[in-house]
Amino acid sequence: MKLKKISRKLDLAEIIYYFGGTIIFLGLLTLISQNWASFNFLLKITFTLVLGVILHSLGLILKKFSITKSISPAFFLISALIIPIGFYILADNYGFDTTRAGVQSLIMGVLLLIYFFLYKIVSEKIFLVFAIIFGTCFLLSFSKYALPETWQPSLSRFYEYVVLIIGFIYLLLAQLISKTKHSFISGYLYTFGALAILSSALLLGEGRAYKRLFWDWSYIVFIFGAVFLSAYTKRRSIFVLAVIFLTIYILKITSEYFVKSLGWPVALVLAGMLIIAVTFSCIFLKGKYLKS
Amino acid sequence: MKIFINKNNNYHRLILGIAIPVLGIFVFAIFIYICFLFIKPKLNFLYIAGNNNICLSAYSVREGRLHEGPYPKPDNLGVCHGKAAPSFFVYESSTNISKKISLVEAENLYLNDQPKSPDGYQVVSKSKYAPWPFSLFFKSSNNGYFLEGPTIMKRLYYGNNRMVVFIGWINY
Repeated sequence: MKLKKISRKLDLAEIIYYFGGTIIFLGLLTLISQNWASFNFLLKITFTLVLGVILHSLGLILKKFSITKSISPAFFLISALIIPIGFYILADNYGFDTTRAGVQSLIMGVLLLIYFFLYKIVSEKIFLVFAIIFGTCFLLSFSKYALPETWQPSLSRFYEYVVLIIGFIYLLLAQLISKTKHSFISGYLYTFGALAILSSALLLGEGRAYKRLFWDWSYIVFIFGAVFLSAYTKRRSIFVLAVIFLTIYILKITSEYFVKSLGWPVALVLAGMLIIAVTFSCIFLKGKYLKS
Repeated sequence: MKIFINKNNNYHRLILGIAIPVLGIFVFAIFIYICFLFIKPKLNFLYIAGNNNICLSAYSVREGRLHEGPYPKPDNLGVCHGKAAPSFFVYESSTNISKKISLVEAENLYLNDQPKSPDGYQVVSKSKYAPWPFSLFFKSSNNGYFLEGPTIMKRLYYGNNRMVVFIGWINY
Protein backbone atom coordinates (compact mmCIF):
# COMPACT_ATOMS: atom_id res chain seq x y z
CA MET A 1 0.00 0.00 0.00
CA LYS A 2 2.86 2.30 0.98
CA LEU A 3 4.67 1.45 -2.24
CA LYS A 4 1.60 2.35 -4.27
CA LYS A 5 1.41 5.76 -2.61
CA ILE A 6 5.06 6.49 -3.40
CA SER A 7 4.55 5.41 -6.99
CA ARG A 8 1.55 7.75 -7.30
CA LYS A 9 3.55 10.65 -5.94
CA LEU A 10 6.27 9.95 -8.45
CA ASP A 11 3.72 9.84 -11.24
CA LEU A 12 2.40 13.23 -10.20
CA ALA A 13 5.96 14.59 -10.08
CA GLU A 14 6.55 13.19 -13.54
CA ILE A 15 3.39 14.87 -14.85
CA ILE A 16 4.55 18.19 -13.38
CA TYR A 17 7.99 17.72 -14.98
CA TYR A 18 6.32 17.10 -18.33
CA PHE A 19 4.12 20.15 -17.83
CA GLY A 20 7.18 22.25 -17.06
CA GLY A 21 8.95 20.83 -20.10
CA THR A 22 6.01 21.70 -22.35
CA ILE A 23 5.98 25.28 -21.02
CA ILE A 24 9.72 25.60 -21.74
CA PHE A 25 9.08 24.31 -25.26
CA LEU A 26 6.26 26.83 -25.79
CA GLY A 27 8.54 29.60 -24.54
CA LEU A 28 11.25 28.63 -27.01
CA LEU A 29 8.73 28.37 -29.82
CA THR A 30 7.37 31.84 -29.05
CA LEU A 31 10.88 33.29 -28.84
CA ILE A 32 11.83 32.01 -32.28
CA SER A 33 8.42 32.86 -33.81
CA GLN A 34 8.55 36.46 -32.54
CA ASN A 35 12.10 36.93 -33.80
CA TRP A 36 11.80 34.84 -36.97
CA ALA A 37 12.84 37.73 -39.22
CA SER A 38 15.64 39.02 -36.96
CA PHE A 39 17.23 35.71 -35.92
CA ASN A 40 19.72 34.33 -38.43
CA PHE A 41 19.91 30.68 -39.43
CA LEU A 42 22.71 29.89 -36.98
CA LEU A 43 20.78 31.29 -34.03
CA LYS A 44 17.60 29.41 -35.01
CA ILE A 45 19.55 26.16 -35.29
CA THR A 46 21.25 26.82 -31.94
CA PHE A 47 17.89 27.29 -30.22
CA THR A 48 16.48 24.11 -31.73
CA LEU A 49 18.84 21.38 -32.92
CA VAL A 50 21.89 22.22 -30.80
CA LEU A 51 19.82 22.91 -27.67
CA GLY A 52 17.75 19.78 -28.38
CA VAL A 53 20.86 17.56 -28.52
CA ILE A 54 22.32 19.21 -25.38
CA LEU A 55 19.07 18.67 -23.41
CA HIS A 56 18.81 15.11 -24.71
CA SER A 57 22.40 14.38 -23.60
CA LEU A 58 21.74 16.03 -20.24
CA GLY A 59 18.66 13.83 -19.84
CA LEU A 60 20.73 10.73 -20.53
CA ILE A 61 23.37 11.77 -17.99
CA LEU A 62 20.73 12.62 -15.35
CA LYS A 63 19.11 9.23 -15.95
CA LYS A 64 22.28 7.52 -14.71
CA PHE A 65 21.93 8.92 -11.19
CA SER A 66 19.15 7.66 -8.94
CA ILE A 67 18.47 11.13 -7.43
CA THR A 68 18.01 12.86 -10.78
CA LYS A 69 16.60 9.91 -12.71
CA SER A 70 12.97 11.03 -12.37
CA ILE A 71 13.66 14.46 -13.90
CA SER A 72 15.32 13.06 -17.06
CA PRO A 73 12.02 12.47 -19.01
CA ALA A 74 11.34 16.24 -18.84
CA PHE A 75 14.63 16.86 -20.68
CA PHE A 76 13.78 14.15 -23.20
CA LEU A 77 10.37 15.73 -23.74
CA ILE A 78 11.76 19.21 -24.48
CA SER A 79 14.42 17.82 -26.82
CA ALA A 80 11.88 15.60 -28.62
CA LEU A 81 9.69 18.66 -29.17
CA ILE A 82 12.38 21.08 -30.35
CA ILE A 83 14.52 18.75 -32.49
CA PRO A 84 11.72 18.32 -35.12
CA ILE A 85 11.44 22.13 -35.33
CA GLY A 86 15.14 22.27 -36.04
CA PHE A 87 14.60 19.83 -38.92
CA TYR A 88 11.92 22.16 -40.34
CA ILE A 89 14.27 25.17 -40.03
CA LEU A 90 17.05 23.23 -41.75
CA ALA A 91 14.79 22.24 -44.67
CA ASP A 92 13.36 25.77 -44.91
CA ASN A 93 16.85 27.27 -45.02
CA TYR A 94 17.67 25.28 -48.16
CA GLY A 95 14.52 26.58 -49.80
CA PHE A 96 12.37 23.49 -49.35
CA ASP A 97 8.67 24.13 -48.92
CA THR A 98 8.00 22.51 -45.54
CA THR A 99 4.25 22.38 -46.13
CA ARG A 100 4.79 19.77 -48.89
CA ALA A 101 4.02 16.17 -48.00
CA GLY A 102 7.35 14.91 -49.42
CA VAL A 103 9.44 17.13 -47.13
CA GLN A 104 7.23 16.36 -44.13
CA SER A 105 7.42 12.61 -44.68
CA LEU A 106 11.22 12.83 -44.96
CA ILE A 107 11.45 14.72 -41.65
CA MET A 108 9.03 12.39 -39.89
CA GLY A 109 10.75 9.29 -41.33
CA VAL A 110 14.15 10.38 -39.98
CA LEU A 111 12.61 11.25 -36.59
CA LEU A 112 10.85 7.88 -36.47
CA LEU A 113 14.18 6.08 -37.04
CA ILE A 114 16.00 8.21 -34.45
CA TYR A 115 13.40 7.62 -31.73
CA PHE A 116 12.92 3.95 -32.56
CA PHE A 117 16.67 3.27 -32.18
CA LEU A 118 16.80 5.43 -29.05
CA TYR A 119 14.02 3.34 -27.52
CA LYS A 120 15.82 0.15 -28.49
CA ILE A 121 19.06 1.30 -26.85
CA VAL A 122 17.99 3.44 -23.89
CA SER A 123 14.60 1.73 -23.29
CA GLU A 124 12.93 4.92 -22.04
CA LYS A 125 9.13 5.01 -22.42
CA ILE A 126 9.02 8.59 -23.72
CA PHE A 127 11.13 7.56 -26.74
CA LEU A 128 8.58 4.88 -27.56
CA VAL A 129 5.74 7.41 -27.29
CA PHE A 130 7.55 9.79 -29.66
CA ALA A 131 8.44 6.97 -32.05
CA ILE A 132 4.71 6.17 -32.26
CA ILE A 133 3.78 9.86 -32.73
CA PHE A 134 6.40 10.41 -35.46
CA GLY A 135 5.45 7.10 -37.07
CA THR A 136 1.82 8.20 -37.26
CA CYS A 137 2.83 11.57 -38.75
CA PHE A 138 5.06 9.73 -41.23
CA LEU A 139 2.19 7.46 -42.35
CA LEU A 140 -0.15 10.43 -42.80
CA SER A 141 2.33 12.59 -44.73
CA PHE A 142 3.79 9.75 -46.79
CA SER A 143 0.35 8.51 -47.84
CA LYS A 144 -0.45 12.03 -49.07
CA TYR A 145 2.90 12.17 -50.89
CA ALA A 146 2.37 8.78 -52.52
CA LEU A 147 -1.19 9.61 -53.61
CA PRO A 148 -1.34 10.34 -57.37
CA GLU A 149 -2.14 13.95 -58.25
CA THR A 150 -5.41 12.94 -59.93
CA TRP A 151 -6.64 11.51 -56.62
CA GLN A 152 -5.79 14.65 -54.59
CA PRO A 153 -9.40 15.99 -54.69
CA SER A 154 -10.56 12.91 -52.76
CA LEU A 155 -7.81 13.35 -50.15
CA SER A 156 -10.17 13.48 -47.15
CA ARG A 157 -11.77 10.15 -48.22
CA PHE A 158 -8.27 8.68 -48.64
CA TYR A 159 -7.31 9.84 -45.14
CA GLU A 160 -10.30 7.97 -43.71
CA TYR A 161 -8.79 4.73 -45.04
CA VAL A 162 -5.33 5.73 -43.75
CA VAL A 163 -6.73 6.45 -40.25
CA LEU A 164 -8.49 3.08 -40.34
CA ILE A 165 -5.17 1.36 -41.12
CA ILE A 166 -3.40 3.42 -38.41
CA GLY A 167 -6.06 2.20 -35.94
CA PHE A 168 -5.27 -1.43 -36.76
CA ILE A 169 -1.51 -0.73 -36.52
CA TYR A 170 -2.08 0.77 -33.05
CA LEU A 171 -3.92 -2.39 -31.96
CA LEU A 172 -1.07 -4.54 -33.26
CA LEU A 173 1.52 -2.35 -31.52
CA ALA A 174 -0.52 -2.43 -28.31
CA GLN A 175 -0.47 -6.23 -28.41
CA LEU A 176 3.31 -6.24 -28.92
CA ILE A 177 4.02 -3.61 -26.25
CA SER A 178 1.77 -5.33 -23.69
CA LYS A 179 4.49 -7.96 -23.29
CA THR A 180 7.22 -5.40 -22.51
CA LYS A 181 7.92 -3.43 -19.32
CA HIS A 182 6.15 -0.39 -20.80
CA SER A 183 2.85 -2.26 -21.00
CA PHE A 184 0.85 0.73 -19.70
CA ILE A 185 1.36 2.42 -23.10
CA SER A 186 -0.51 -0.47 -24.72
CA GLY A 187 -3.69 0.60 -22.86
CA TYR A 188 -3.59 4.03 -24.51
CA LEU A 189 -2.77 2.45 -27.86
CA TYR A 190 -5.78 0.13 -27.61
CA THR A 191 -8.05 3.11 -26.84
CA PHE A 192 -6.65 5.36 -29.58
CA GLY A 193 -6.65 2.47 -32.03
CA ALA A 194 -10.32 1.70 -31.30
CA LEU A 195 -11.16 5.42 -31.58
CA ALA A 196 -9.38 5.66 -34.97
CA ILE A 197 -11.12 2.56 -36.34
CA LEU A 198 -14.61 3.41 -35.10
CA SER A 199 -14.51 7.06 -36.21
CA SER A 200 -12.98 6.42 -39.65
CA ALA A 201 -15.29 3.46 -40.39
CA LEU A 202 -18.28 5.63 -39.47
CA LEU A 203 -17.10 8.39 -41.81
CA LEU A 204 -16.51 5.86 -44.59
CA GLY A 205 -20.25 5.22 -44.56
CA GLU A 206 -20.75 8.55 -46.37
CA GLY A 207 -20.63 9.11 -50.12
CA ARG A 208 -21.76 6.91 -52.98
CA ALA A 209 -24.71 4.58 -52.40
CA TYR A 210 -22.99 1.20 -52.89
CA LYS A 211 -20.03 2.16 -50.68
CA ARG A 212 -22.37 3.59 -48.07
CA LEU A 213 -24.35 0.36 -48.00
CA PHE A 214 -21.19 -1.74 -47.50
CA TRP A 215 -19.67 0.41 -44.75
CA ASP A 216 -23.00 1.05 -43.00
CA TRP A 217 -23.74 -2.64 -42.58
CA SER A 218 -20.20 -3.75 -41.90
CA TYR A 219 -19.94 -1.14 -39.14
CA ILE A 220 -21.79 -3.42 -36.79
CA VAL A 221 -18.80 -5.81 -37.03
CA PHE A 222 -16.48 -3.02 -35.86
CA ILE A 223 -18.80 -2.28 -32.91
CA PHE A 224 -18.87 -5.92 -31.82
CA GLY A 225 -15.11 -6.06 -32.39
CA ALA A 226 -14.66 -3.09 -30.03
CA VAL A 227 -16.88 -4.71 -27.38
CA PHE A 228 -14.87 -7.95 -27.68
CA LEU A 229 -11.61 -5.97 -27.46
CA SER A 230 -12.77 -4.17 -24.31
CA ALA A 231 -13.58 -7.54 -22.68
CA TYR A 232 -10.26 -9.02 -23.87
CA THR A 233 -8.12 -6.09 -22.69
CA LYS A 234 -10.35 -5.23 -19.68
CA ARG A 235 -10.40 -1.60 -20.79
CA ARG A 236 -13.53 0.35 -19.95
CA SER A 237 -12.54 3.27 -22.20
CA ILE A 238 -12.91 1.06 -25.30
CA PHE A 239 -16.27 -0.13 -24.03
CA VAL A 240 -17.45 3.47 -23.52
CA LEU A 241 -16.24 4.32 -27.04
CA ALA A 242 -18.14 1.34 -28.47
CA VAL A 243 -21.35 2.49 -26.73
CA ILE A 244 -20.97 6.11 -27.89
CA PHE A 245 -20.28 5.07 -31.49
CA LEU A 246 -23.14 2.55 -31.41
CA THR A 247 -25.51 5.34 -30.33
CA ILE A 248 -24.26 7.58 -33.16
CA TYR A 249 -24.58 4.63 -35.57
CA ILE A 250 -28.21 3.97 -34.54
CA LEU A 251 -29.09 7.62 -35.09
CA LYS A 252 -27.29 7.64 -38.44
CA ILE A 253 -28.95 4.46 -39.70
CA THR A 254 -32.37 5.67 -38.55
CA SER A 255 -32.01 9.00 -40.33
CA GLU A 256 -30.62 7.39 -43.51
CA TYR A 257 -32.92 4.39 -43.99
CA PHE A 258 -36.07 4.75 -41.86
CA VAL A 259 -37.00 8.42 -41.91
CA LYS A 260 -38.42 8.32 -45.45
CA SER A 261 -40.50 5.19 -44.88
CA LEU A 262 -41.59 5.68 -41.26
CA GLY A 263 -41.33 9.46 -40.88
CA TRP A 264 -39.30 11.37 -38.27
CA PRO A 265 -41.57 10.81 -35.20
CA VAL A 266 -41.72 7.00 -35.48
CA ALA A 267 -38.04 6.80 -36.48
CA LEU A 268 -37.05 8.79 -33.38
CA VAL A 269 -39.15 6.52 -31.13
CA LEU A 270 -37.48 3.49 -32.72
CA ALA A 271 -34.00 4.99 -32.32
CA GLY A 272 -34.70 5.90 -28.67
CA MET A 273 -35.90 2.37 -27.89
CA LEU A 274 -32.83 0.87 -29.54
CA ILE A 275 -30.50 3.17 -27.59
CA ILE A 276 -32.20 2.20 -24.29
CA ALA A 277 -31.88 -1.50 -25.19
CA VAL A 278 -28.21 -1.06 -26.12
CA THR A 279 -27.43 0.86 -22.92
CA PHE A 280 -29.14 -1.82 -20.81
CA SER A 281 -27.19 -4.60 -22.56
CA CYS A 282 -24.00 -2.61 -22.09
CA ILE A 283 -24.51 -2.18 -18.34
CA PHE A 284 -25.19 -5.93 -18.12
CA LEU A 285 -22.05 -6.76 -20.15
CA LYS A 286 -19.92 -4.28 -18.22
CA GLY A 287 -20.95 -5.85 -14.92
CA LYS A 288 -20.24 -9.33 -16.24
CA TYR A 289 -16.99 -8.95 -18.19
CA LEU A 290 -15.32 -5.72 -17.12
CA LYS A 291 -15.08 -6.25 -13.39
CA SER A 292 -11.59 -5.32 -12.30
CA MET B 1 36.94 -0.54 -27.22
CA LYS B 2 35.75 -3.36 -25.01
CA ILE B 3 34.62 -0.90 -22.34
CA PHE B 4 31.91 0.43 -24.70
CA ILE B 5 30.65 -2.95 -25.78
CA ASN B 6 30.54 -4.53 -22.35
CA LYS B 7 26.88 -5.06 -21.50
CA ASN B 8 27.52 -4.79 -17.78
CA ASN B 9 28.36 -1.11 -17.90
CA ASN B 10 25.95 1.45 -19.34
CA TYR B 11 28.44 3.82 -20.96
CA HIS B 12 27.86 2.36 -24.39
CA ARG B 13 24.16 3.15 -24.00
CA LEU B 14 24.96 6.74 -23.01
CA ILE B 15 27.31 7.22 -25.94
CA LEU B 16 24.94 5.58 -28.41
CA GLY B 17 22.01 7.53 -26.95
CA ILE B 18 23.79 10.81 -27.66
CA ALA B 19 25.22 9.66 -30.98
CA ILE B 20 21.90 8.57 -32.54
CA PRO B 21 20.19 12.00 -32.67
CA VAL B 22 23.47 13.68 -33.70
CA LEU B 23 23.92 11.13 -36.48
CA GLY B 24 20.26 11.52 -37.51
CA ILE B 25 20.65 15.30 -37.75
CA PHE B 26 23.82 14.95 -39.82
CA VAL B 27 22.27 12.42 -42.18
CA PHE B 28 19.21 14.64 -42.63
CA ALA B 29 21.35 17.79 -43.18
CA ILE B 30 23.52 16.03 -45.77
CA PHE B 31 20.47 14.56 -47.54
CA ILE B 32 18.73 17.95 -47.64
CA TYR B 33 21.92 19.57 -48.96
CA ILE B 34 22.30 16.95 -51.71
CA CYS B 35 18.64 17.46 -52.67
CA PHE B 36 19.27 21.22 -52.70
CA LEU B 37 22.13 20.70 -55.15
CA PHE B 38 20.06 18.56 -57.50
CA ILE B 39 16.54 20.02 -57.25
CA LYS B 40 16.73 23.10 -59.45
CA PRO B 41 15.29 24.27 -62.78
CA LYS B 42 16.89 22.89 -65.90
CA LEU B 43 16.88 26.30 -67.62
CA ASN B 44 18.50 29.60 -66.65
CA PHE B 45 16.24 32.64 -66.66
CA LEU B 46 16.46 36.40 -66.98
CA TYR B 47 14.78 38.79 -64.57
CA ILE B 48 15.01 42.49 -63.89
CA ALA B 49 14.88 44.29 -60.58
CA GLY B 50 14.34 47.95 -59.78
CA ASN B 51 12.26 50.49 -57.90
CA ASN B 52 10.49 52.24 -60.77
CA ASN B 53 7.41 50.44 -62.01
CA ILE B 54 7.33 52.26 -65.39
CA CYS B 55 10.95 51.32 -66.14
CA LEU B 56 10.39 47.68 -65.21
CA SER B 57 7.21 47.27 -67.25
CA ALA B 58 8.92 48.65 -70.36
CA TYR B 59 10.83 45.41 -70.88
CA SER B 60 9.29 42.43 -72.63
CA VAL B 61 10.16 39.58 -75.00
CA ARG B 62 9.52 40.01 -78.72
CA GLU B 63 10.51 37.35 -81.24
CA GLY B 64 12.69 35.65 -78.64
CA ARG B 65 14.70 38.77 -77.74
CA LEU B 66 14.59 41.36 -74.97
CA HIS B 67 12.66 44.39 -76.14
CA GLU B 68 12.57 47.83 -74.53
CA GLY B 69 9.67 50.30 -74.72
CA PRO B 70 7.54 52.04 -75.70
CA TYR B 71 7.41 54.34 -72.68
CA PRO B 72 4.22 56.22 -71.70
CA LYS B 73 6.05 59.61 -71.74
CA PRO B 74 9.12 60.65 -73.80
CA ASP B 75 11.15 61.67 -70.71
CA ASN B 76 10.71 58.17 -69.20
CA LEU B 77 13.50 56.86 -71.44
CA GLY B 78 16.06 59.21 -69.92
CA VAL B 79 14.95 58.41 -66.38
CA CYS B 80 15.01 54.65 -67.01
CA HIS B 81 18.50 54.80 -68.48
CA GLY B 82 19.76 56.99 -65.69
CA LYS B 83 18.97 56.96 -61.98
CA ALA B 84 16.08 54.49 -62.18
CA ALA B 85 17.80 52.02 -64.53
CA PRO B 86 16.76 48.45 -63.63
CA SER B 87 19.34 45.77 -62.87
CA PHE B 88 19.45 42.64 -65.06
CA PHE B 89 19.98 39.28 -63.44
CA VAL B 90 20.47 35.79 -64.84
CA TYR B 91 19.66 32.93 -62.51
CA GLU B 92 22.16 30.18 -63.24
CA SER B 93 20.64 26.83 -62.46
CA SER B 94 24.01 25.04 -62.41
CA THR B 95 25.18 27.06 -59.41
CA ASN B 96 21.79 28.11 -57.95
CA ILE B 97 23.10 31.70 -57.93
CA SER B 98 21.88 34.93 -59.58
CA LYS B 99 24.45 36.82 -61.62
CA LYS B 100 24.14 40.49 -62.54
CA ILE B 101 24.56 41.24 -66.27
CA SER B 102 24.49 44.36 -68.47
CA LEU B 103 21.64 45.45 -70.77
CA VAL B 104 23.77 44.59 -73.83
CA GLU B 105 24.38 41.06 -72.53
CA ALA B 106 20.67 40.67 -71.78
CA GLU B 107 19.78 41.76 -75.33
CA ASN B 108 21.93 38.99 -76.75
CA LEU B 109 19.96 36.21 -75.03
CA TYR B 110 17.34 34.01 -76.70
CA LEU B 111 14.31 34.07 -74.45
CA ASN B 112 11.04 32.25 -73.92
CA ASP B 113 8.55 34.38 -71.99
CA GLN B 114 6.32 31.53 -70.77
CA PRO B 115 5.93 32.22 -67.02
CA LYS B 116 6.29 28.53 -66.10
CA SER B 117 9.25 26.43 -67.23
CA PRO B 118 8.61 22.94 -68.71
CA ASP B 119 9.87 21.41 -65.43
CA GLY B 120 7.35 23.38 -63.35
CA TYR B 121 9.33 26.36 -62.01
CA GLN B 122 8.16 30.00 -61.92
CA VAL B 123 9.01 33.33 -60.33
CA VAL B 124 6.36 34.39 -57.83
CA SER B 125 5.81 37.38 -55.60
CA LYS B 126 4.43 36.28 -52.26
CA SER B 127 4.56 36.52 -48.52
CA LYS B 128 6.52 33.63 -47.19
CA TYR B 129 5.54 32.84 -43.66
CA ALA B 130 7.77 31.19 -41.13
CA PRO B 131 7.52 27.42 -41.51
CA TRP B 132 5.21 25.30 -39.42
CA PRO B 133 4.88 25.33 -36.39
CA PHE B 134 6.04 28.97 -36.04
CA SER B 135 3.27 30.06 -38.41
CA LEU B 136 0.72 28.77 -35.87
CA PHE B 137 1.76 31.39 -33.34
CA PHE B 138 2.95 34.41 -35.29
CA LYS B 139 2.39 35.25 -38.90
CA SER B 140 5.80 36.86 -39.34
CA SER B 141 6.09 37.00 -43.08
CA ASN B 142 8.98 37.51 -45.40
CA ASN B 143 7.64 39.37 -48.44
CA GLY B 144 9.56 39.04 -51.63
CA TYR B 145 10.14 37.30 -54.92
CA PHE B 146 10.79 33.59 -54.97
CA LEU B 147 11.63 30.86 -57.42
CA GLU B 148 8.89 28.32 -56.79
CA GLY B 149 9.14 24.75 -58.02
CA PRO B 150 7.51 21.39 -57.33
CA THR B 151 9.22 21.12 -53.91
CA ILE B 152 11.20 24.29 -53.41
CA MET B 153 10.60 27.98 -52.80
CA LYS B 154 13.90 29.84 -52.95
CA ARG B 155 14.24 33.57 -52.39
CA LEU B 156 15.69 35.34 -55.43
CA TYR B 157 18.57 37.75 -55.09
CA TYR B 158 17.68 41.28 -56.19
CA GLY B 159 19.90 43.51 -54.07
CA ASN B 160 18.31 46.61 -52.61
CA ASN B 161 15.58 46.75 -55.25
CA ARG B 162 11.94 46.51 -54.26
CA MET B 163 10.39 44.98 -57.39
CA VAL B 164 11.22 42.08 -59.67
CA VAL B 165 9.87 41.31 -63.15
CA PHE B 166 10.43 37.92 -64.75
CA ILE B 167 11.47 38.30 -68.40
CA GLY B 168 12.01 34.80 -69.76
CA TRP B 169 13.68 31.41 -69.76
CA ILE B 170 16.96 31.38 -71.65
CA ASN B 171 17.15 29.13 -74.71
CA TYR B 172 20.55 28.12 -76.02
